[in-house]
Amino acid sequence: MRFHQYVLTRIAVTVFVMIGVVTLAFMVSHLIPVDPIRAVVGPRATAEQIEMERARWGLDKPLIVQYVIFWQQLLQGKLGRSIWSSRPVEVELAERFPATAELTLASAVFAIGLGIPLGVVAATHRNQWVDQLVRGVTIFGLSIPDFWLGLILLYIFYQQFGFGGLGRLSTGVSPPTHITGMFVLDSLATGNWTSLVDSASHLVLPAFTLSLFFLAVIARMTRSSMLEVLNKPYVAVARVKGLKERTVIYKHALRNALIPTVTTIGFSIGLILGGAIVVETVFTWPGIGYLAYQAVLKMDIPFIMGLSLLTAFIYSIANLLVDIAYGFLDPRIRY
Amino acid sequence: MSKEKEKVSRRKFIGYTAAGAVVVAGAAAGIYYATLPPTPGPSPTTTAATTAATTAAPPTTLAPRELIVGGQFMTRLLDPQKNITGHDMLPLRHIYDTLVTFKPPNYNTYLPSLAKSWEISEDARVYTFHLRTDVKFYPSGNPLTADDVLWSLDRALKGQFPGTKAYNYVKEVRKLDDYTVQIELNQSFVAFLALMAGLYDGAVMDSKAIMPHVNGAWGTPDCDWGAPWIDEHSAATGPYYLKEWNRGQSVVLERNPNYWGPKPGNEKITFKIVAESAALQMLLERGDVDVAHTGMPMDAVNEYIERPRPEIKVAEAPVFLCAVSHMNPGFKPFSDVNVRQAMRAAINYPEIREKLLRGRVLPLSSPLYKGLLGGGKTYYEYDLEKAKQLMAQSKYPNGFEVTKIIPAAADIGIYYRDLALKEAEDLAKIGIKVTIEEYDWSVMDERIIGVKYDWAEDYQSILFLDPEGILTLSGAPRHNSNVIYNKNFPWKDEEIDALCDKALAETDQAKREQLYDQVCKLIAERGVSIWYFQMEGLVPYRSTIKDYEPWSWIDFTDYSNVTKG
Repeated sequence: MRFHQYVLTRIAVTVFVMIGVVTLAFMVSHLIPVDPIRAVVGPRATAEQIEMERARWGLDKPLIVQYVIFWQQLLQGKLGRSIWSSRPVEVELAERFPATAELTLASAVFAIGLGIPLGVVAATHRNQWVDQLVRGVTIFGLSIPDFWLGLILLYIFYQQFGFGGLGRLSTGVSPPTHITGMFVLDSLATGNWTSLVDSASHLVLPAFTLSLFFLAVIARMTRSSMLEVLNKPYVAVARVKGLKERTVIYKHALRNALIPTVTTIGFSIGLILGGAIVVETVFTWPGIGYLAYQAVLKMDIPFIMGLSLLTAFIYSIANLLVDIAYGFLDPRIRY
Repeated sequence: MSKEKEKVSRRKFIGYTAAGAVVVAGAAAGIYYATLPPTPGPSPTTTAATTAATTAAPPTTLAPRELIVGGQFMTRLLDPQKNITGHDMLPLRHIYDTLVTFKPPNYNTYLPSLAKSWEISEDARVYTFHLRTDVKFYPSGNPLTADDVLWSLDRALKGQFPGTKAYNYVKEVRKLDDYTVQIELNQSFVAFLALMAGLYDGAVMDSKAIMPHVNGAWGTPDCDWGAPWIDEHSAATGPYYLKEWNRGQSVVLERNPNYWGPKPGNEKITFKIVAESAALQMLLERGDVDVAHTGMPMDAVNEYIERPRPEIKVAEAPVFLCAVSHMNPGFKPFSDVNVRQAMRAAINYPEIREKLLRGRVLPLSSPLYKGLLGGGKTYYEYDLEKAKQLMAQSKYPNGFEVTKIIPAAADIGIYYRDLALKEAEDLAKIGIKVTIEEYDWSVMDERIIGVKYDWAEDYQSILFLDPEGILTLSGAPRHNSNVIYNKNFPWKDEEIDALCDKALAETDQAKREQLYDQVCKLIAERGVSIWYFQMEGLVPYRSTIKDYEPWSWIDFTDYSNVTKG
């Protein structure tokens, strides 16, 4: 199979995955014995008011009809209206997505940028204090809950030292001119230094909180993979040939050891999006995660469906990119 | 690996030194940044993507005298008639005016607002309001006229939104002249002023500004009532107008330059959304919010009270919220009045108040709260001997087993599980064995309204500021038309309902209070609910805030007169 055929096949599979995810989300949303209309009319609404609202939202129709209506709307590029906010779901997602994208990207930068070097250092210093330290840090990262770490960081850095804070910007600082919706990038692009410093300082704590778990996973994966590769004959050959240790590690060993790490990174992107729900709530970060938390509490079915679709899309694309990356990392892999 | 390779090379040494320098420089910068004083002024704001895309970033400015109110707000709609949550109501009550209003702690006397005066017919069926002539809407500048009142009320009557109630009572609305409105009711209803003082039925909107944005034929199910436009704009006469709504972050209000009343205390009010209670505490303690309106950790509030701090005060006021449970008479033992009375007498309320809630609640033994007409009186209390006697007189002298459903949450300051365990302990003394089952609130609501329980824990709030605003929720059967005692509920009491109906036609307040006293006595004798305590509102705020007055209807708190020093 040629490369472009492989990519097209994967894209086709992605479409089926998204159909499956949406169908599953739809079924599960309707199986849960919670009435979303109660969130709209309030807990003390009369039965008549509940029925009136249910008819208004089309929730009185048979399940299969609701499902067909959903797909009809989707094919017109619409995700329906959020029951909670009465606004189009695609508008809600588009407004909040840049904040989540910024947080997720920053977390990925932390997790990958620190996780891989830490894994390499640990592997190349096996059983030395550096290795023990890295393993200790990664166990800490794997075991501490997001919300707890977030609160601890807020207490130390924000409450004690005034660094960062809740939300995306400090008191009195205006957002940069909108380009991508990601404040750090937009501030850089427009040369708004006040906003840059402030938005970056606000981003550090939630991004680090969100990244620590994945940083630990990536570091541990890189370490174990590196240890395996470092024992391979071709690494010994490279050393015997007199190559510098740095070249042996980074050009010969790491490149081959990265394949399982890259797979992990692909999975992590989806998991980071999931983790954002907790972190965004703790830091009052106005992204999709915080909205998703509210939507699940209120059983806002149209929003949950739209979010499932978006998450499945991101997850599929991330994994497609990972598969493509295999070919670049290991020339023996061909499609 | 050889010993040789473990040695630190010169290259590595330089690398480590450089990395160390970066870390030290970073730490120094962090410490420098951290030692900068916190910046006063407005809260962080982000502009909605669609808006920001078309406008250049404004310069960084600090608004003078900006009050920042933090809380676990889940603002959903900014339409005064369509919203259903208190979180929405709080900013809206600063934007929209009503015909009449009230001032705490007196919730039984109405004060003029957009109506400078009014007359009520002797039978409490015809209400005539005389409007102020000096009121203009912001930002349109349109003068307020009777047409706006008619339009706003028509919207509430035809829309029949979840919070509106007036459609049950209004027969006809008439415009007598440009500044006089007459409302005729289909029955005597002295609580009508309470509806007009609330936003659901009473908010007055700028009809000329909103009407062009209404989609669908007026009054039909397709009509959107202009709600999407109202969500984003101000068309009102209140002391503030909606500056921006940063969804998920804040609602920002600015002073209305056209306001007809006293100049509000601050240029801006920001209602800042803080989802995490511990984070809200940090914001308050650092001075980044001025008032923690809702969602503070109870432990922290107790700490502020018990170990006072100069920079933080705690406002205390009884709130119109309480813990209550309902006994379903369809469950055989609860069909016996003696059992219901025994249950009420067996529960040790003083211990619940003092031990479980650290004395931060008020006694309550009727549906009517302290602060409302006829509220705050004692109708039953803990008396174990009496409880035992009542059980002996009942059809169940040896006791029985009952399942109590409770919410699996500890919201509005009530720890339902602790309360249920304490009750179970008390009721065991009269032979009643209680099994506790916990459910999510959504399931609880469904089971309570569907009357699918033997005994259910619940909370009681208020629909509008009048005894009837509670009795239509719980307490009196009200012809089985209310939410708890609905058409599926197997309890009727025509005597109680007749007294309530009589109280609604009684224009003499003293006589009306006597009628509610009789109602509460009968409810204590025959009723199916147990009231445990009335919540006390504890709102921490910065000492720099002046003239802060806590409201018993906490989501209706007026921050327009609060000043920030």
